[in-house]
Amino acid sequence: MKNYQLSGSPKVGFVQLALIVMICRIFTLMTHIPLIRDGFSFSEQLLALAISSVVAALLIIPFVIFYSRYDCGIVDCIYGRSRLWGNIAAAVYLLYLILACVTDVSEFSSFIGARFDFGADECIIALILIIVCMYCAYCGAEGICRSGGAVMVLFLVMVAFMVGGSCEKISAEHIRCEMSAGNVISAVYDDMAGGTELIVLCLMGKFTRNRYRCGAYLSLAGRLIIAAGITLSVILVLGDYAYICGYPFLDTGSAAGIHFLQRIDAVYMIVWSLAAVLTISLKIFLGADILRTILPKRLPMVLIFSVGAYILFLLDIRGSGMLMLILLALGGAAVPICQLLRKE
Amino acid sequence: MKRMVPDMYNYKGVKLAASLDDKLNDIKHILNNSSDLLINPMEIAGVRTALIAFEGMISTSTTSRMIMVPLMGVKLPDDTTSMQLFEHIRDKMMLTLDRAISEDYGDIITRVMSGFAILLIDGVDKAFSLGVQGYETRGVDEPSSEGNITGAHEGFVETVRTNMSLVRRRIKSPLLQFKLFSISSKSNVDVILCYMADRVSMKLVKGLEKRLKDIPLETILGCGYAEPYLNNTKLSVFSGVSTTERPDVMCARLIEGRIGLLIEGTPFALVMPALFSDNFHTIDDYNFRPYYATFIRLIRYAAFMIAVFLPGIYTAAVIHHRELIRKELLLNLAEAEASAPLPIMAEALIVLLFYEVIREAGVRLPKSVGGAVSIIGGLVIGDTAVSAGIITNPMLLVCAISVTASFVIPALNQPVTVLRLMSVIAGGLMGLYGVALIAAAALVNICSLENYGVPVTSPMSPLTGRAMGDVFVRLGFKRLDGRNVTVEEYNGVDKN
Repeated sequence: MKNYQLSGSPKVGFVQLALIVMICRIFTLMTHIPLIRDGFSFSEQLLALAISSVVAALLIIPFVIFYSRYDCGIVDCIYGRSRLWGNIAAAVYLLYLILACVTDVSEFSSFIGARFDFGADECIIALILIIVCMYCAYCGAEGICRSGGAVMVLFLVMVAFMVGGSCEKISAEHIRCEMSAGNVISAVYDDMAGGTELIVLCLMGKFTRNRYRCGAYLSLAGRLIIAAGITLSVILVLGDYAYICGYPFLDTGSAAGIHFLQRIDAVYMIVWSLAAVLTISLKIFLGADILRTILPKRLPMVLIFSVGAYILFLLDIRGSGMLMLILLALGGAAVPICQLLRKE
Repeated sequence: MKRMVPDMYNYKGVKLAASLDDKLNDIKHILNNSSDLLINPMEIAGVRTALIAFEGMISTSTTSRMIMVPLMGVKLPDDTTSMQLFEHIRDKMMLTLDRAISEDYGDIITRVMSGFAILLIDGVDKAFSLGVQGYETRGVDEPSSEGNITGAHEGFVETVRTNMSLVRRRIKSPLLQFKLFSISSKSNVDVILCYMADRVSMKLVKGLEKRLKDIPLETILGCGYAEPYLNNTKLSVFSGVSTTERPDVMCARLIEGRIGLLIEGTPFALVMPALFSDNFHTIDDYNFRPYYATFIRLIRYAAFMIAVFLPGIYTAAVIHHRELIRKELLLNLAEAEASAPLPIMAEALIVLLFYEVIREAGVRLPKSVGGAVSIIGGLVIGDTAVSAGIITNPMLLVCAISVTASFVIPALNQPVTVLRLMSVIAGGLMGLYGVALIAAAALVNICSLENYGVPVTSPMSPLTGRAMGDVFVRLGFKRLDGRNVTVEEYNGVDKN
């Protein structure tokens, strides 16, 4: 397929932009719901979500103005004015995206490895995930964003099944309405820091065909609704257990039952995995696009492979296995480093 | 100046000689005295002429009635010159409706090989090409690959001009355009581009024509030869070019603003750009009541998912996610699988691969014994394999359901087969996680495909609301009326 997104005209619609940002949010919440994990009460979480959405809406105003005036990306613009600052900006954004991917891959593979026994090491799970994500990144931002619609439909169907299957277990008594200003501020910070979708939203302006402002605010609204909805459903079903279990959303799915299937958390894992692939592959794509700004003559596949290799390399540093580390350092990071350093 | 004598390698663009003997010698030299070349010398009004054709390519009765008798009856003075005879035939005699004047050997050779009779006149460096084709062709028959209940039972044939008439009969509009030209360096295959002039940009038509003329293949014997050169989508199991054997389907696509390609020698037409949703539409949908058509269409979408993912999900559930299955069913499956000597994933792969063998055997065998293959393969071998304990009933059932579901959407047989095998392997190795990864990769792959600026997943994604009345559902014609949306009007189409 023509990977025009690394070189061609923007094609992502504003609704697609909103959907993919929501998918990124869904992935974060499915894997770990930051505010529940940190033990805030439901009222504190709700207020924190509202405040963080307002803060996010204010923070993206400069980006909205930027994309209304310029057709290029942020790093492209900076690089065009000053190569030094362009390289610095590229390094900062690239490092952020790679670390975000490392966190996502690490948490997701831990989740898969812990809750579903395939007899495969977490490293293998992570490696296969990264390979699939690199392929999806190669397909381009347009393919990833278009897929978001289908995944969103699946997610909504899944939520409908969950709600329908958990009706008996829902209790309003599970909701604690304690309020503390310090907790709310802390919760706002946790929510802002816990999701990487805002940076994705800011970088995706370059690929949005039209009405970026509409897409941005639509995604923030959707982000709030999804977070509130997921948090509410988890607490209503699980109650205080949500604060101590490892994966609240998964356990909410486990609690739901359908007549012909039991323990349908494995089915929910399909939606998880789809969301994970889209989220991580989009970040790999954005990282490769930033690399392309400073190395325009490299093939898209080399750039994508480089980003994927860096993720794998940093993942292994976090993990264990000296032999794996050495092998990956030699084959994984060395090849793209040599490619990138090769004279153009 | 010495005259250039053409040969079988260098004859295109070489001007005709004036002398009849030179012309005949040149043509014999180009064709290397081919045994099927017929040369009939005759004298008309005192001028030496010759009629050449290939044996079996022309209709002898038409040639006699339309050409020979009128020419023999020409009443001109005995001192008529060659040029006067030429002008008389050109201006005052019709002979055949399909008539052209050829000036070089390239045109003559191409036309005589297309079933034209060539009238050569001594002393004139031009020739008449007269269309009297009479080669044996297959009659218009029911399409073999796209069955239907209530629609027409006409399908395309191997003759491109007959196919052109089948399309013309259905769209009697001057906006329907046909562009005929030859492609391929050795075989000079006739192809026809069909399009509606008010719905397709000329830039696209010209671009396609150039692509076709640039095809480097020496011969084009089927639509599959041309498809890779017309398909913008690479490294994908899905194609951006669709095929159809039905003229009514072709016409529907043309009305939607797409371009059709008819190729001489193949009864399948290519349609570009293709959409993924086309694979789930049949002509019967528009003859059934909307509620039933919608129901059947949803069945097709469900069948696609079942065909691709059911064996993989079953394999994943039985190996890695037994907690998913209810106790009663799990006990039955465990009892069945306990006696199987092979691992479940291997069992699934063997059954699916064996089905491919049976299917291929059924297609290649003569029709008289083809049915026996189905009985032997399906009933005898399948039943005895289960009785012998080599494969289990549940696995056979799951694979049979998947295979039967794939029959619902024959156009997607290739991607379904590949994805099904991949999902079984992924499900066997990594459970539903592996199946999900395959699904994700396939989803992103197909969503990223574009052909001629039109996303393959249109109008679902990017969403074009006006066109959604005929995708998952089929609204009634009174509600669809006024929603005529061409592919160029879909959201997300790159018009550059």
